Amino acid sequence: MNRGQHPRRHERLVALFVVGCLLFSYPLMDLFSGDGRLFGLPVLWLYVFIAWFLVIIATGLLLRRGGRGGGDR
Amino acid sequence: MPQWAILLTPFLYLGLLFAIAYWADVRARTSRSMVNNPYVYTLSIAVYCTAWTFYGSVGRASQDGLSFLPIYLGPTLAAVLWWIVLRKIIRICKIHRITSIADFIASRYGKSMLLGGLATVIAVVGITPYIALQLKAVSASFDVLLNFPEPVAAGTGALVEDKALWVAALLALFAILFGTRHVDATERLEGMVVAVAFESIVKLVAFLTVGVFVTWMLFNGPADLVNRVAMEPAMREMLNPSGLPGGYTSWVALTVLSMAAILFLPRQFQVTVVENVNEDHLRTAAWLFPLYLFLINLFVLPIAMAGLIYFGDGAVNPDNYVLALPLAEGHELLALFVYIGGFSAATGMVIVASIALAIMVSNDLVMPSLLRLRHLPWIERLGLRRLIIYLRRLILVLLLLLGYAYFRLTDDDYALVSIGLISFVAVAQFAPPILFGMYWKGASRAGALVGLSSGFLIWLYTLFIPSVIDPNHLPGMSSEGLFEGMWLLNPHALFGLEGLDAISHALLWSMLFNIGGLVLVSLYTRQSDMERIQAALFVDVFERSERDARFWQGTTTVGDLEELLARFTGEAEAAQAIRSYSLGRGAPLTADQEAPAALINLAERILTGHVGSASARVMMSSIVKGEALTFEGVMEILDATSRAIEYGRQLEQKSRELERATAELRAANQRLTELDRLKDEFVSMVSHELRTPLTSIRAFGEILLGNRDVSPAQQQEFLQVIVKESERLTRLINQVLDLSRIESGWGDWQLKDLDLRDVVADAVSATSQLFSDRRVDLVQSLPDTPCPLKGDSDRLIQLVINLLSNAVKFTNPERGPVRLELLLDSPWVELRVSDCGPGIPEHERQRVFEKFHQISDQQAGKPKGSGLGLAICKRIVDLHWGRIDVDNEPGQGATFTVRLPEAGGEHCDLAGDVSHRNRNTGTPARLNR
Repeated sequence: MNRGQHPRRHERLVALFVVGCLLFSYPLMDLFSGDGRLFGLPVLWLYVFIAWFLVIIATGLLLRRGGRGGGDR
Repeated sequence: MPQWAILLTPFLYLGLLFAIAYWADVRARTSRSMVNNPYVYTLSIAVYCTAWTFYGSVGRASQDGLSFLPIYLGPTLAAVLWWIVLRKIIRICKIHRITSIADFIASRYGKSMLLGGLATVIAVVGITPYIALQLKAVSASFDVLLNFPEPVAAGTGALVEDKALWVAALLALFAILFGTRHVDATERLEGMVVAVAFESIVKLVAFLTVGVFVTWMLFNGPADLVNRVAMEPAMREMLNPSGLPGGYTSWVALTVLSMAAILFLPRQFQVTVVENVNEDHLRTAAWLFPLYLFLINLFVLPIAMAGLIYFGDGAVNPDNYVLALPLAEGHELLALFVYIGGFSAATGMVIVASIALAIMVSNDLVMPSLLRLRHLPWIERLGLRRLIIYLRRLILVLLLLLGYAYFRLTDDDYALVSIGLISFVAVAQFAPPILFGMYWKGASRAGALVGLSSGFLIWLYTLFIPSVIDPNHLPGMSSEGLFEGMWLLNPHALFGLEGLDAISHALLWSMLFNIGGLVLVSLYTRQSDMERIQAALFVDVFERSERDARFWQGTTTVGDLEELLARFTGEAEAAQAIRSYSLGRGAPLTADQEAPAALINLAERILTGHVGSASARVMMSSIVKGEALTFEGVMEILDATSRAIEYGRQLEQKSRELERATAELRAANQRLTELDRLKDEFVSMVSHELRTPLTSIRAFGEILLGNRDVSPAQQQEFLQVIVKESERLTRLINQVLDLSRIESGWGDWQLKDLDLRDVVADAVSATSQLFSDRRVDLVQSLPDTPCPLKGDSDRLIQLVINLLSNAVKFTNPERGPVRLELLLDSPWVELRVSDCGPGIPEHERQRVFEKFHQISDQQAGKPKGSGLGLAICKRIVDLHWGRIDVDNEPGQGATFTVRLPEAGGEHCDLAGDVSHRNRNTGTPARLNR
């Protein structure tokens, strides 16, 4: 009953968590494992670091104060 | 570099740390707190990155590439949920004054001493190797710094010469100074937090520096490193050509493990929960802390590759690549800086972990047992307050000694990461009782006890004991060797489960038993009242205002309560607590008065901060006579409170709505009153105006009727007056009728395209008689071009007639003519009528357009007009979307100016003032005013 809380914030955070878990596990990571290189680096390494960075940014955006719909109490 | 400089540097660094902590403590006391800041908070959470991160990650990465990473991906994913989960933990801990994981578990499951003690034992047994790991890292990295390039086995020297011992001693001193000053564990350890935050900056900068140095100065960027590694078949393994090392099971297990670790490692709990000042800081920490992890891991792979290329296989322990690379290149200062970075990573962890553990051991293990010994008079003589502080200091020293002993006893070629992972699995055992306890009211004490103890036993059997018996059989290795032939009971393949690495294997089994035990036993046991109360309070922490919760039905006096508090907090603080309570209550309390339930509750909470929830409960029940409330009783009180709050909220909303409605009503009423007043005024004015001519008609009529001897000449005169006054009356009534017709809006008007010049011509001819009667000249100046206009011709003629007759009425014929000007000032048509009368004084100018307004100070006693002419003009002009003004210099005569919108475009397009009046000009709307 978090009054004043953005009504969807919790749901969005949980969704991001699930997406994050998927990004760093079997089917998706397997797509990038292999001998390929991009900019001279193994694609898996690049993939993991880029996905990691994106998750961090998304977390920051979701928790922005007073983002759409006002802040939490 | 001289040896003494290398020896001295870490101690100088520790000195700096003492100074920073001291400074932060002083600032905190002068209320310029450093820790009320999301960035310091985030940096203090980075105590997660220990020597394991600093040295061990590179070692692990050099063996199998990415596999070091889940330890940092897990916390990143967990941080996404911090706002939901960690915020709840923080709220619970603040309300219940919980200061450690063990206390959290004990408090949730009915303030159970047994559970608190068990959790403490798990934490101590689980974390000691971890502390040892840090000491080992400090010592090993020091040896590398001192003896490179000769490889040296760590910790072989005499006890006195062992720097790890001295470092441990100094860290114990630091922890004692900055971690055990207060008895109340809820007091913030600002000095410790700021020092740890500072260490986080040092280790990050050090690691980034060496990373940049290795990647771009020693080699030509990451791509170059990858190319070189790929050329060596022996090293190609680390590029993970065939998927993830250890497969996805290990990867996922490590991710889950580190998610639990970031929440439930005692040191993480200390900095994220106990030292949290403001829940809102989580907003920043939830992305900034993962970003910190991201940065500190950026160069792990490049350094690992560089080490492999530079040193080949085997010459240097991969855990030491970070240090060995700058040393081998002869950059001793850089190496020293890197060493300090690793040193800070290790010391930060040791400080926070030992303080957290010491509080846990003293509150949840030692105090409960001490309080059981009822007859220990010397405890009381010493003073409980001092006893607790000294106890914590003693425990701190013992813990560090334990860590050091573990380090001395097991100093083999341990991989740093492996020891850390053993601790992680131990700590993960806290996850089920805490998480289930926070979201499932049904989780019971018995369930938690069974789950936690079976999980712990499996951990002991599958990970801890094997690592002590046979250090070579560490996680990551196969299950061959020592335990072969133990089929069902093989610690690395329990119940015949093979094919997993030791960590995943231990995690799987311990979690299975932990969660399974917790759920199954909870489903088949009854909770005590205390458990049910605490469960409800924990799960619904955001829904209830449990500050009002009362658990005590029994009674005690204020004096007894204060005495009990004073034994732990000191007399001054106890008196202060009672005083501030009675201040908030409004009435002072005397010592022999019965203590209110809320005060008993407050006292228990204060005690919880000092001695843990279980002991606090015991202490309270020793002085409170009577029974604690039942679950139903407490819930009733809680529900009543929250119902009252809810009612209050609804009431507030209702009263706000009511207020708004009242305001609207008041405004409407005001408008009505005003209209009523205007109507009354109008009626009284009309009747007044009608009465004047009527009175004179009646008077002259009566004279004619009553006086026979009135001369015929006089009769004639009187009859003329009667006729004139009747005419005036008719005129007046006509005008009133006109006005009311106009007031009602467009009604039967006809909107046509007109030329204002025709209108003027009609009006002039209609008033020509008037002008010649009064011998006034009219000067017109009309434009040659037509002045197109949309409007009702009759009304506009009436407008001009009114203006002209008004002018002729007031002008002074001797002083000049009446002027009528018409000009086209696109998009407006302007009509001016000026006279040479006395003019209109400033303050009357707006009022002349009011009904029945007559300018009072006219020379003639009798008003010349009805007072309606100009009001009608104004109304007509308004209805034609125009405006009428009067201006003059007094004595020069008045000039009336009418501006009407030119026809052509739509009227509503003409100007702001006009447009809102009538939006659809096609069908003239009724204008309500």
